[in-house]
Amino acid sequence: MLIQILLILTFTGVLVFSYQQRAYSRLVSFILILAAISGIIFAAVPHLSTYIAQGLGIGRGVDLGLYLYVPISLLLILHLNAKLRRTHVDTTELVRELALLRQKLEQPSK
Amino acid sequence: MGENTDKADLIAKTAIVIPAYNESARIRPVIETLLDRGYLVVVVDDGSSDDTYDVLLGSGAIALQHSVNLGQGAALATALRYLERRPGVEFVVTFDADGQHHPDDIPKAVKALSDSDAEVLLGSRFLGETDNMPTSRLLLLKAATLFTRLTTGLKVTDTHNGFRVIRANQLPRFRLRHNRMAHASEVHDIVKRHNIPYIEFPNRIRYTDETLEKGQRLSGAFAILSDLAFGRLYR
Repeated sequence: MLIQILLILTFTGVLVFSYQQRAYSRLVSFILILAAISGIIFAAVPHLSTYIAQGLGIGRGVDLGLYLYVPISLLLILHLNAKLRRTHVDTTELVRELALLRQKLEQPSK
Repeated sequence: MGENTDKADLIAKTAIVIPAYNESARIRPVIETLLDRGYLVVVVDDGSSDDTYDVLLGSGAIALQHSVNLGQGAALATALRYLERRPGVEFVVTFDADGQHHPDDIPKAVKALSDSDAEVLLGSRFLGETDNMPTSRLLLLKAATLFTRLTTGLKVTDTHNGFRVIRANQLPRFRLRHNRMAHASEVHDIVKRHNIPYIEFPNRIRYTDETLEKGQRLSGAFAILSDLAFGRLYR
């Protein structure tokens, strides 16, 4: 019972955070909101995950959670990696333009 | 007389670009040699933690400074971007800061490119001379060259040779995206992708303990492969 409350509180926190982050990445926000809502439902009604898992031929609800967790995590890691690279490209461009501007200001005669 | 005029004309149209990272102890003589020969020299201090930039400011070269360390490829790209915007330059030579390239190769290489129909000249230490190259470095470079030949189809004899000459009208094509050492492979990719005519040139490379210290290692080769793989993934 206590773990149910903790899980529901945690997933609710993830839900709120994900909703707040939608301006930065709609895709990540959407996936996390879906995952958080699923988490709240499965924590509140534990038998539901087992029922769905059996319907899908997996067996246990815990396994269903694990199978969903792995691809969602990989997708998020890939997305974050792409974002990181994009940020790095932007940083490079900023540093480059700053270098060119400084040269023009500090060595105008060259 | 005519030959000297041609030589002076080529020198006036040539810019040397040098990426530098923590090279304050070694770069001054390299720059002085090139300036004495009449070249326009552009040096990019890639966020050095020593006083490389101060040395550059007092050297007579055009000094650009990255406020953070980005990598050799990024430093080269900054210099090339600068020269894209600077009129009067027709040939751009990429040159290493540590003195392993030979300044005497520059006029010969520029003349060779100028006399040819090619747009890019790629230095090849395996067509030229190398002093004190360790066997491990030789094997690594041979493997890298084979990789380049297989992945690009270019029949080059060397790769990751920092000595190149590019006609300035080609600079917009050489906007390097790889910040670190993978830029050397990217140069070949660009040549292949745009079907740019190129020639190879036998240049000399002198290895010393210091140049070997900063050069490529096997771990660096894996980093380059990783950069290339991710670069292609997100192209």
